[in-house]
Amino acid sequence: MSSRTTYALAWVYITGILAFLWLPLVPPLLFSLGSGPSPTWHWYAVLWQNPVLVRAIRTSALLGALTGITAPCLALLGAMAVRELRASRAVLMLMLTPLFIPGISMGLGSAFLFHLLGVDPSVWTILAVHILWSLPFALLIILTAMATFDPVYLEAAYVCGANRIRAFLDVELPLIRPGIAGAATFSLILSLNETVRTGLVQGPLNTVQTYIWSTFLQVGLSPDHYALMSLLIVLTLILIFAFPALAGARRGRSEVSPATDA
Amino acid sequence: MRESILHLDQVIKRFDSTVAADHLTLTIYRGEFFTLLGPSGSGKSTILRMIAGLVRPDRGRVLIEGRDMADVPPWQRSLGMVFQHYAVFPHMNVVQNIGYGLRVRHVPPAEMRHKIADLLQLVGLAGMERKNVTLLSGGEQQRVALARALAVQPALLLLDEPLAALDEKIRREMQAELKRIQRKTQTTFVYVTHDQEEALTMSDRIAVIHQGVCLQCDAPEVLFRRPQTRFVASFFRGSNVLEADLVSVEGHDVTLRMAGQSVTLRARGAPPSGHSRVAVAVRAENLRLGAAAHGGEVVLSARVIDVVYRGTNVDHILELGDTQRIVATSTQREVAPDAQEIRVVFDPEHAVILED
Repeated sequence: MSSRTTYALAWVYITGILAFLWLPLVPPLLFSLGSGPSPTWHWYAVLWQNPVLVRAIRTSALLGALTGITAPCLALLGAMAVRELRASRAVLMLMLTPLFIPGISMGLGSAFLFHLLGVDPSVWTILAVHILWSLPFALLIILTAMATFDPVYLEAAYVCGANRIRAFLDVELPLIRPGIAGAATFSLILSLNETVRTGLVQGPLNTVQTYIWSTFLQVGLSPDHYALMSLLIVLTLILIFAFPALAGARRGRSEVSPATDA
Repeated sequence: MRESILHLDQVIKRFDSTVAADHLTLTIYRGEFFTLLGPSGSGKSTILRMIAGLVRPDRGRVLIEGRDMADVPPWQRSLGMVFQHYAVFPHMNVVQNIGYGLRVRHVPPAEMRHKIADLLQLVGLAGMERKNVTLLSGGEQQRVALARALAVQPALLLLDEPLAALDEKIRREMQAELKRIQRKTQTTFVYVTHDQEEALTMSDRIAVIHQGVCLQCDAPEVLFRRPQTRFVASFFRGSNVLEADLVSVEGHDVTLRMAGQSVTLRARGAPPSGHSRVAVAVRAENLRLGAAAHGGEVVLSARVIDVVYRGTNVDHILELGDTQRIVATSTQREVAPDAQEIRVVFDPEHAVILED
């Protein structure tokens, strides 16, 4: 087979994969622009007039922000503890396996536990399951980032006179920042898009996802829902691409020296 | 009396299967260029890391300027350290790297700028202030690392194989540079290397380390000319270690039977006792070939095995009557191409009786 044919086949295959992956997202996008002869943004505008949805958006944003901040911080501390203790593979697996536990089990288990503890459903119970969901991902990303960090930089900082905290802030943190930014982005997105676990501990509150899901079950979907879904898809894509890029840019800027600028 | 700046007292450090320091006792004096020389895995890097406080000894004491360092973390030891792979901070530029120790110590900006300018000058990096360190060559990165370590005017500068990752030509340049900088700053250097030539070139004193033990600690010429043990002798290129039978000992005069020949040498230290076999070191350049012996010289007969041309030198590989192989080095080929038997001559002054 000529290399040209191989080349063409590879492209055909990639195109096939991409079509398979992205095709399901096309109908909502098309239907969100209305079913009339000319496309319209009407259904996007209508969204903001729905008070239940607006409240759900606020709740989602709050949860996303809190999860995006909390999960990476906890994961960073966890990863440092793992390194400090030279924790075994088994311990590490225990920290990561909640990833693979079915959402419905984790959600029901959490709901039951909250009930036993006498904790009423609130934004905090939702936050707890969101962190539960995103922490292993965040941990995995930060562990990967830390694995590429050479501890000799910390030793160099110690010998220069920096104590552990100072060395961490001045040397390790800037060097693993892309990993932390990645973990934050992932946690935020996982929180925004989580449905099953949230649905089981949400109580009276709605997130955007539980709102879509319950409306779908109760009254079926209308074009404004398609608009909402399209917005969420676009938002997720923006987050995935923009956040790590922003983190990189910050790192570049910090290269201007406090010493030389002084 | 020279002032001791670093003292290791009966330091022990073991890892699972290796010994990095075995009752190691060493004294390093202020202002000297001191080298820990040994093969990889001899424990020399771990010894350096114990001095830095990056590794804790199992037992024994590390004293810097007379003070026990047991509870002093590395950031309070007022040291500088240069690592094999430079360890310059990749997210900081040249000036930020060099100024890091000063910044941590809250040195005022004006003083800091002044010091950094001096250091850039000293290590030959003037004009590179804002360069991204990751774009510098290995040699330049190592200069940054050196300046960073010197910035805080450390009592001791520890260097862990700093030139090992550089290529030959840069390494030679940096050897001279390091020596110059050491003299100029009058800083005590503790240098770790496995490269005997590097150690001989730069050091005031060298400690040969093997399995966590200091086998010999002397000035380069002494170490090179008068090794005390088989290990030290064979560590330096061009050494011949000859096995001989002990015949008699009278005071310091030791009579040996070497390749069928009776030889009398003068023992420098305590004469050997309790062994019937002893080892004798003779350097390859001290063996002469074919030439007539003056009175009192040792003459052995040998068979020529091979002649190897090495540019400045020619190595003659010879086999003695008792099948021991030795190498004699000369500036030119000393034997005819078809020569079989040849005479090897050396001055007993140049032969050293080894302790093991």
